[in-house]
Amino acid sequence: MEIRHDQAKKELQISLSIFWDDWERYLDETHPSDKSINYQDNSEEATLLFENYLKQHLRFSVDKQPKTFEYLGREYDLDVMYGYLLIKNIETFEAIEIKNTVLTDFIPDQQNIIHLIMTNGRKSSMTDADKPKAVLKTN
Amino acid sequence: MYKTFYHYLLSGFLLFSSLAFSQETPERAPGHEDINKFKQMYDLLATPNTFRTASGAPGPDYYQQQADYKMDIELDDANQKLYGEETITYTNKSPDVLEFLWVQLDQNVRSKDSKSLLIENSSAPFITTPGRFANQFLKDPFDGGFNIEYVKDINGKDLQVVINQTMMRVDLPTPLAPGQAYSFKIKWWYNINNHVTDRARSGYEHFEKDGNNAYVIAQFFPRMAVYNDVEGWQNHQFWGSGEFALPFGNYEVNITVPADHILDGTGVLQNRKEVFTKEMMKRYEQALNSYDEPVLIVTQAEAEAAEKSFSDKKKTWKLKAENVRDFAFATSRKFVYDMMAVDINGKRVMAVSMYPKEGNPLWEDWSTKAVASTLKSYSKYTFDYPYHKAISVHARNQGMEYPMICWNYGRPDENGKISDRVRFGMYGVIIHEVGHNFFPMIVNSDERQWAWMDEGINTFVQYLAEQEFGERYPEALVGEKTYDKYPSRRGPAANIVPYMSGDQSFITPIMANPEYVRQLGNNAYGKPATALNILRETVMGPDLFDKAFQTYSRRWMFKHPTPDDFFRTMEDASAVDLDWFWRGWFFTTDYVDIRLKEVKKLYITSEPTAKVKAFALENNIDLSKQGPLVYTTTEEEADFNPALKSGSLVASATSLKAYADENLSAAEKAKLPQAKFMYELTFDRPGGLVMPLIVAYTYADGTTEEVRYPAQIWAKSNDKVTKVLITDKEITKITVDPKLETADIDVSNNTWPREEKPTRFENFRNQN
Repeated sequence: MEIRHDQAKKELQISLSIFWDDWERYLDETHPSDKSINYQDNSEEATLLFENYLKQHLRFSVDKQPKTFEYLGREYDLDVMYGYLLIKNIETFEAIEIKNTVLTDFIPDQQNIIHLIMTNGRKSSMTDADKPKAVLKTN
Repeated sequence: MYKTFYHYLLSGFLLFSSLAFSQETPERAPGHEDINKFKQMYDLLATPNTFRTASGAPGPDYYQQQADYKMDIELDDANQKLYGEETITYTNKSPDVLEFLWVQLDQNVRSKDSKSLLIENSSAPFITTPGRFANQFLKDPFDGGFNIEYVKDINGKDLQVVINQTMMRVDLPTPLAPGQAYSFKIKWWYNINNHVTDRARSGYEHFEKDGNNAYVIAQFFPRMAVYNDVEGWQNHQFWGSGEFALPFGNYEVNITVPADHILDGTGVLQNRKEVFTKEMMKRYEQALNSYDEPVLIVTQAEAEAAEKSFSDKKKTWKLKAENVRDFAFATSRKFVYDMMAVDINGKRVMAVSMYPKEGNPLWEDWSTKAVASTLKSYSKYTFDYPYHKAISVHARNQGMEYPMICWNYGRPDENGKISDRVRFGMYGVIIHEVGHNFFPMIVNSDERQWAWMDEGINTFVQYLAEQEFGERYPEALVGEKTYDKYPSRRGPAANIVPYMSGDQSFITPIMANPEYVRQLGNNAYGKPATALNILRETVMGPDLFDKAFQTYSRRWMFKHPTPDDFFRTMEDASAVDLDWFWRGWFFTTDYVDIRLKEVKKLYITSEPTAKVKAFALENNIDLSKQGPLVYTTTEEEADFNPALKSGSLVASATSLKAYADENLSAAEKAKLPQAKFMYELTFDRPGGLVMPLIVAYTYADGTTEEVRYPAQIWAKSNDKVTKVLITDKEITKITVDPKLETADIDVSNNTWPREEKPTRFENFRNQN
């Protein structure tokens, strides 16, 4: 997951990528009898499934204030699905906390890497099933 | 005034700091070891010996053990149990006396009390499905470990054994001397697991609608561990991630299954006429001569009819394999079965597929052709495929390889819709798993220690084979979209950038054990495959690389190579020093980031510039007594004379012109007017890896020129390289690594003038 702080627009631009193989495991488990295990389309149902999943599995707080994100949409290539999220009205901040249980709820050894990209550099951290929270400080 | 003041401050500071230096810190920097990036690998490689030579070939004393198996196997389909009785004959070809033998019991990873369950981390999810919760926390764990009924010598006398998790030590009554063979028998059974719910490599898939199982059975019998000159017994436990290494041997296996099953596995089928119907035999004869299209031995309609029969009769399939390192088979009454002949340098090999109807329409169209194409491509880059067949079996969710047979995913949805992801996933996994016949089934590296030696090398050849599959069958590239070349996931340099630019705490060097590396997929597959692809295309060039790679494959065909043997052979057969490449890419987590730091446009003149005059004054040099000189200057210098911008470089420096008139040949002089522009470029290396410096120059007239400086450009100065260029056209743009062939993790510092590229997020937002 990449979180980019756009200072001019005062927003956090978030993009995250998920391998289709992994997403298919989730679909497979939660919708075992469904006729389509692929959901690689832009139907409302497929999109909503992903949006709801992210809303369940991602929490952001900026300087200890919980922030909701806007789901902008998704796109995909052969192997990877990319999701785009936006958090508005973020001018300056000291730390961002991310609780990320994406995929770790059904792939025990999944590791999610988070990059925070700012004009003055970047910070990285990682979450997994044991440690779903990460705090990234801007300085 | 300001300058004087500044000067005063500066010298005062210098005085102060030099005093401070002499008092508090040593005057000289401490010494250091050889830290040059081109240092040879004496510190990392094993000392060559008579088992393995310095050139990377097997030495005069190289040996390998042999393990031969005779087995009778029976499947209980109704209760999903597998029974076996085996006789192992172990031949000690080592110079050592062996007191005991080690046998691998991989199935014990699934025993109820398996320690691999104990090392798995578990945590309580805050949201989950009832089924998953029950499976994880409430149900008794499935007991899929081996039940060993006996281990006896050939006369029926019990042998002393000790089982340590997934390894069993057989204590020999008398030590086994070099050159001797020892036979013993093991009887065992185990409960077969559901590989779909378990995400396992061996097991069955259950089909709710028709009540049938499709079995893909592997790592299923007690198997001899490797004993060699490098590690002695390779008795690493099987924890689940490291795969395996086994000695070569010959197998005679009789497998009894329900009479309506279709079965195939490692080895030559000995009783084809007994187990095939007359119609199947006729179609098989046809397939032997069908080199373009697969012939169905069992059609989908026949498989659908068989799904309902649930025969209580039995049939025994007899297979015999020579010089293989393992044995696996697949069986089900659901299997559709097709075959096609492949010409490998004049030898006939059969490409074979087995799949339940759920794999269609994709599988009957492409599985066997993908197998055939893979055998051709791999044979070209390594050695002619030595076995008589290669089988691709459709198993849900997994890709796994065994000698002559592999399991592959890729299933259309229930409406028969095939997404591009499923389509290319299926081609890719078949090419990958069939490719594993070469690495590690034949070039038999130790997977449990070095995952990259089979996965990385194989993923690299997979990339070449995928591209060739796309060229051989362009119609295979037509799915939801039409691709003009095969969209390979791993291989292209740019695809590894997200991994290599990641946080260093989550990256492990390639040279590490698969049980603890972080991000195994990137570590053992993606990065080594990409490294070899870069080595081939950018560092060595295909001609030198291909010959060296083929030499490695042929030297170690049917043998056990180590990483050193690979590194050494690649240099031995190419005369390219690659120590810098192996050291950087395989032994460290360094990444490539080469930066175009500065571009200076220079002019030359015979008139001393202010900078030169100041320098002369400071150093007591009388410029008038130095004879004719040439000075370089830039537009940024205060006394820059704009007249220098017109005309050729030489014309604007009379001293140079006079020299040229007198000393250069007519031909050299004729070229002088073309020397119009002069640049000094500085490149540096924020990343740890040295790489060839590839630079594209774009000129004012729109033409482009690419110059490739070998990696050794960094040899003398590892950190910084300066290059001067004289050109006839003005340069408007300079790009380092313009075709993204070096996996440079930050291309924003690769161009002059600097270019800002929109992020993926911005691109998406602008399009939507």
